[in-house]
Amino acid sequence: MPKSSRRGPESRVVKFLRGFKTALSEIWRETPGKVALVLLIFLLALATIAATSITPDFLLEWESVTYWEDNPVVVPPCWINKLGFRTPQTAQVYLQEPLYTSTNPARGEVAYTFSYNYTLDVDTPPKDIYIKVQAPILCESTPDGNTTFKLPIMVVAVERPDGIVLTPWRLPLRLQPNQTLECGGLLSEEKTTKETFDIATAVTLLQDKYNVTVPVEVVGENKTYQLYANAILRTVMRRELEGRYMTVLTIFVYPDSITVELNRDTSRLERFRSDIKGLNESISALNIRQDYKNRIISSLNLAYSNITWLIENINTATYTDYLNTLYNARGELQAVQRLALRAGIPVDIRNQIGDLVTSLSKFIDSATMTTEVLSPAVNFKALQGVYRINVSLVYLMKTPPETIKAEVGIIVKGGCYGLLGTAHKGIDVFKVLLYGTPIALAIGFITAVVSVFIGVIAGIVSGYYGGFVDEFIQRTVDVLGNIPFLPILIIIGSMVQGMYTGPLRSLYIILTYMIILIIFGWGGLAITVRAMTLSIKEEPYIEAARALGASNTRIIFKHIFPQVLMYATAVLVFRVPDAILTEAGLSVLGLRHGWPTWGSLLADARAEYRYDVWWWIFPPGIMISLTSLTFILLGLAIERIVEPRLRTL
Amino acid sequence: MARPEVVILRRGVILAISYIIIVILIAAILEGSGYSMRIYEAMVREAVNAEIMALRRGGNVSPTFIEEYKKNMTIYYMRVYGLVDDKGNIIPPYVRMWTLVWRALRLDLGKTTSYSVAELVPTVPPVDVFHVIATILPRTIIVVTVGEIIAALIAVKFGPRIAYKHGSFTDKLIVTYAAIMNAVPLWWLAMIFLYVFAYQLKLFPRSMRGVAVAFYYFWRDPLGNFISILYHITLPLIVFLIAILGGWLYSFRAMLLRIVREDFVMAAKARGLPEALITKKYILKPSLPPVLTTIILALAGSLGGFIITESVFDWPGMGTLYYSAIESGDSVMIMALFIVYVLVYLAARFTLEILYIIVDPRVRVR
Repeated sequence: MPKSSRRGPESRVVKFLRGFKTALSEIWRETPGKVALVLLIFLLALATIAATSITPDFLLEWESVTYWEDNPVVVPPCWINKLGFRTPQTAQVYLQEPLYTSTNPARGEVAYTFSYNYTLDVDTPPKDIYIKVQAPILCESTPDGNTTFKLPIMVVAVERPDGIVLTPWRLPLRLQPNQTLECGGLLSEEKTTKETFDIATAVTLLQDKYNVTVPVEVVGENKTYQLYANAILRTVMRRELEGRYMTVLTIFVYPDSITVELNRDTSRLERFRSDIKGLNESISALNIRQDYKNRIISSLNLAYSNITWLIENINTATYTDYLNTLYNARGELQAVQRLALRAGIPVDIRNQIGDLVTSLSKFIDSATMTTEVLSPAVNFKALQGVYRINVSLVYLMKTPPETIKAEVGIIVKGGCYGLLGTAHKGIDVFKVLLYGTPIALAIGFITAVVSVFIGVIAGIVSGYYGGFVDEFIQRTVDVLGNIPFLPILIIIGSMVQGMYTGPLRSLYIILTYMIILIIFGWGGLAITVRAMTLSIKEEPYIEAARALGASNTRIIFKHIFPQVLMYATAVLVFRVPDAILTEAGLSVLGLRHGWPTWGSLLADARAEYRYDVWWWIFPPGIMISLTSLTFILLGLAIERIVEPRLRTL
Repeated sequence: MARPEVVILRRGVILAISYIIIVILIAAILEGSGYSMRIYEAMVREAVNAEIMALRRGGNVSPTFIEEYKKNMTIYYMRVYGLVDDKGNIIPPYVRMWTLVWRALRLDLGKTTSYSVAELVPTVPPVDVFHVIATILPRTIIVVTVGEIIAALIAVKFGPRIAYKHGSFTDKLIVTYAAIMNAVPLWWLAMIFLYVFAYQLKLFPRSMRGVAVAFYYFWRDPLGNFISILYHITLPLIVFLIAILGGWLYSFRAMLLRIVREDFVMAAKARGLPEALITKKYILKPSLPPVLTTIILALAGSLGGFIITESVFDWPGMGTLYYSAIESGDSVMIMALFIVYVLVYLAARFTLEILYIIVDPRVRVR
């Protein structure tokens, strides 16, 4: 007896496995079944990979901006470069080992240099570049037995393809506000910024290398004025680099062409001229000493004719001519100003002269320092080729260690990223899709299993016992069937948004959705199963079992349940997508739960009004549809197996 | 067996009871749980804070006066939102719940005080709930109901033929199409169509919210507004038709397939009757009850709109109304929407009970 009882369950397992194998080969026979099984294996593989590699902090942090800060924002996947699109590469390198160590014993300096080669092969610069550093505090003992702490200076040097070596950042690493000074303690530079970028030197280097100067035919021969003009040009270059290239992208560009315009608008000059003319008239009318009057009038006439000459020759004048004229006119007016006091000219006219001199001086200032008169425009282009980015940690030490434990991150945000690009905040679409798979399958499976289980039990109980129980269950199904389900779900969904807090909030919200789905999901099946039970109940073998004294529970589980099981399996498989679709739909509506699901990606696209980004809206929807399709096809295949029995009922 | 009148009466009573239960259930969710009260309390706080900000901006006021003013304004706004009665006593949730139930049973829809709901009309609160629904319902009917009707007509026309030739290439194509459309979420299809036709090809608007104006002021410029409505409606209608047609064809095929295998169809085929006659007289006619059920329930259900898809298109229909009512915790509006929806649905089911008797000779003779 003990032997057979041990064999009993064993043979049941074998029987189950054999049945399972038969069912699989039945499903495999037709095309939909084949497609469904292949898709199912694909989904299960994805889910397994994701479930074994997912970390709790990804679940909690994936929506924070800092989690994805090294990724470029809303960029397409990198394989589009193979299709003929051209986007700059993205680089995210974290280096632990310095490439070389160079010492300078004379100065007592040691530099640990980390380097990376970035290749720019398109004519647009990347979107951003920054360096992150973590470096240790080193210690050195002095001859008198004390210890001195050595804090490093970070020097970033970029060797460009055109031979320029830019040194955009040279920053001493400092202690954090509540960090203590200790040997081996890590200092960090979170992220280099444009504020600390040495743009002035970079502009000068670019200007010298590419010989960016104002042409002589525009500026004229005067050497001083040429210096003025080139200073203006530098300002313009710097403004352009700070504006369009966010300062840091200066690393990747070169001045391609410059155009320099002299302002040919004479309205301001004409105003000066008419002011001088007005002065001339009012001073002529005055009763003052004639010799003073003559000198004043002749000076005014000189200033007047100077400006008149410039106005008449404005189209051929150089910058030198322009400035000379202004300086001459101002000289004459200043002479008038001095004479006016001696001549006893009334105070209001003296004030007029003074105002004129001041405004002319202001005009000269703006002509020599701003783009008011000389307006150059510099057009930059991305410089293609290999950039060697060297990050050196420089310590002032006599006896440096061989190597140090440091981490240097070099981040270049390009125009493409990974397998499926990124969404807002730099969210990696592929990563979310991958980790969304087990979540979706779990939500779908659990909801379907529970609701089908309840439906089957309720249906069998309803059909088998009849009477009041039957009436109660059927009327409950009726009422549930009349309630519009989605609005109720949305009401409860928005209710629970504010109800749960803490790290398990997302889980609770999703569980709530699932419970509501289960409550509304079992009704339809209960009606069908009830009908099946009613006909099975009348079969002779049930009567026989009852005559043999079998209990109701035994009859239900031994004789009725197995008959309903196959049909229930088909329904279960059909039901799996329901919860997945509902979760995604609610997310899109804005009822977020906080887990990285496919729906949440689509919800983000909707919230940001980014339906125009194909790599953001297509992949999650395709995953949802593919999963649904898998289970629909599988359901169809199973239904086909079950159908003959269904028809006999 | 009972006589038809008794059957109908019994069904009527059951439907009425189920209406009452649904109303109580929804009232319990909305008010009994304190959900809408919490939202209203937040709104009262916001309104009172705004009043006090305005007061402070006016000049220097003593803190004691502000305290007094805050208390008065809180009571005032709580009365506006129906949180306290005239004497200033707080109305507890269970009382509010039964008030809501009683009003729902009397079909007293009331007025909505929510700005986001009134904005859909467009007007300012308070506004009669009946007026809100009457204004917004046509916008849903013109897309969803019209879409369902078109799909139903296509299904009635082609369903019998597909069922008759089951196993053919067309049949397989339809089944595949239905399976795919069943898998693809309607709202995602809407996103994709917006991407292609609104963002890339720029043929249609990106947001359909503007259609509300064309509806509201239709008679000012009938032709212009008609064109505007067409411009807004095309994309949602096409997406909707593509999505639901698969399901319609598939369910019709499934319903008719049972009839196709019946002996009398075989006999008709053997007699050499033309295909058109067989599909119409021998297949479609006997399956009229389930066909009618599907059509009538679909039409009744269509009045509720599609909450998620409408929100993707930004279509100002019943779905959007539902959502903004839920979002603003407007229990009067939510209740009214449920009442209308459930009543229409129950009425449809009751109509079906009567129709079965008319259509099905077996029931009639008995």
